[in-house]
Amino acid sequence: MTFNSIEFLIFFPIVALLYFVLPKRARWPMLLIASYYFYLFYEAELVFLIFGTTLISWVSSLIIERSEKTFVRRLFLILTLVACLGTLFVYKYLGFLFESLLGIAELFGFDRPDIVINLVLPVGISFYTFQTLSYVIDVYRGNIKCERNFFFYALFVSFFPQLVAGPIERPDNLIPQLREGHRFNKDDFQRGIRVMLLGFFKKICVADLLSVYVTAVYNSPEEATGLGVIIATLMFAVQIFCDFSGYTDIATGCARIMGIRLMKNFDHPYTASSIKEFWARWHISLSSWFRDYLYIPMGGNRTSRPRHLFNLFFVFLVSGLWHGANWTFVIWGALHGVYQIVGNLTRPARDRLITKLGSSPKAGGVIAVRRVITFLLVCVAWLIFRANSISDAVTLVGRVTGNFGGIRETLSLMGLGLTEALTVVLAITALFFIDRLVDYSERDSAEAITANGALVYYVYIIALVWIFLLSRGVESTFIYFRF
Amino acid sequence: MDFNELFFVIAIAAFIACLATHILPLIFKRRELFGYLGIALHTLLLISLFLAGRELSFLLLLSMALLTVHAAASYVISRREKQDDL
Repeated sequence: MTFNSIEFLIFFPIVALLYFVLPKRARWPMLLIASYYFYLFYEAELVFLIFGTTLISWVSSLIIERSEKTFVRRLFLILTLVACLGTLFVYKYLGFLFESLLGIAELFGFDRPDIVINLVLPVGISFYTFQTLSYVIDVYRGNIKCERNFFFYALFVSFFPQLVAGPIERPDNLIPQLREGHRFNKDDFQRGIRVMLLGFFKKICVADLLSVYVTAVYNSPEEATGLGVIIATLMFAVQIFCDFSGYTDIATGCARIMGIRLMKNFDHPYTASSIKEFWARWHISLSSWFRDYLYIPMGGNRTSRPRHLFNLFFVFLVSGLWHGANWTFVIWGALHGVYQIVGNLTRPARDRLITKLGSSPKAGGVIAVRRVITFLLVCVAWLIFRANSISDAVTLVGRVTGNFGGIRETLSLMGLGLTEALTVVLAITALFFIDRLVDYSERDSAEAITANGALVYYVYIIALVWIFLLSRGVESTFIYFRF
Repeated sequence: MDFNELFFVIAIAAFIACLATHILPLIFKRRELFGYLGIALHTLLLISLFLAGRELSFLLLLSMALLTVHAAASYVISRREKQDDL
């Protein structure tokens, strides 16, 4: 069941109600049952994978904690890494690797055999695998104590709001909160509802609305005009942000209603003034995971300059691969790695140039220009990310430099009439204000959204757009479910 | 005036009134009253447009326009309240 489904609108109030009605000791078992029920709705036949990953990581972490021999501890850590990442590899990357090898073999004149590896990608596998790995590595490092109760640990892995698309939680943040068994708190409830509504608005009123026009261009690259590619890419930048941060908002809101605070996953990423800052604001739970469990163990920036730059590139390459088994994601990750390296190497020269021009690197105007450049660089990378294949990406870039096209022709190809275009612009403008309002009410105790019946109003608008999209047969799932 | 035109006129009136309920809280402090009145008028607007035979995309456009005004006004009010607190 997805967050934007009728089933979830029935499921969640029941779970939240039970959470507060049941005695404290019965709450976490109820949450565990609810979480597995939530997951069974997606893929009943693949539930053994999440259960197996949970069991292996729990047993290993117990052995790692109890053993005093470094060899045994290291052995079980490696075994867990192999088991968890191996499962991820088989289900997510095996088909991709096989296809790539076949492609290379074909280049050398070999015949293509009639074998196709087509395994169903289990929903949320990348997220819960990384969450279990962070737990085992933290136990190995001695940062946390091992959880003795298997079922309680299973809840940490499968907690339903963040199970299928994150945030990738850390054990030291989530486990103590799950154990707490919170009392009903009006403030948490109101804030949770507000953040959930913002998430639904982002997903339904912006992301789903934009997806229609983005898909029109990206699914027919041969017919697209250059202007269409630019508009669709800018739209995709907004769509993917609203889709993914919308999911995070709904997840965070759900958990907050039950008194549980999930980690922040987005912090106005498009206001970043460098690619480095962008990654400190975008999908924070994944970026920090890679920083703590890959970048720093590789030596981070405390090594030689070439090694530091290699570390940066490698982490982004892996991050790209994490997003999916497709060359578009690999190149997208590599491009961000290149951005980081170039940014790192040219930073002193750029700062000197700005000082020579009589300004300061921290001046408002300079930061504004940097923000625009960062956003455009991110959009170029999004083009590759969104393209269905590398050849499509090349075609789309070719359309920008070749057939630019006129505004009328472009809008008609995208199916974007005046009414639709205005609706999209208004939806994005409204989002800007609503986002600011939720930010305000998070920082202060001002009840900005609930004060004047606006809560009902937002539900009203979201429902209207939902009906509109359903009437047009727009299918809606979250983009990050595929990862 | 036929049936469609009548409902369209009602819709225009409801739109203007609804717009006012979103802007007036900037001047008067009866936010709650204006809020619920706004929802009622928005409902009237949608029903009238529907009965006037307008497309759903047009209903959506007007709703988004009203929502944007509402959100912008709420934002201004929140900023003002925040400054008052300071």
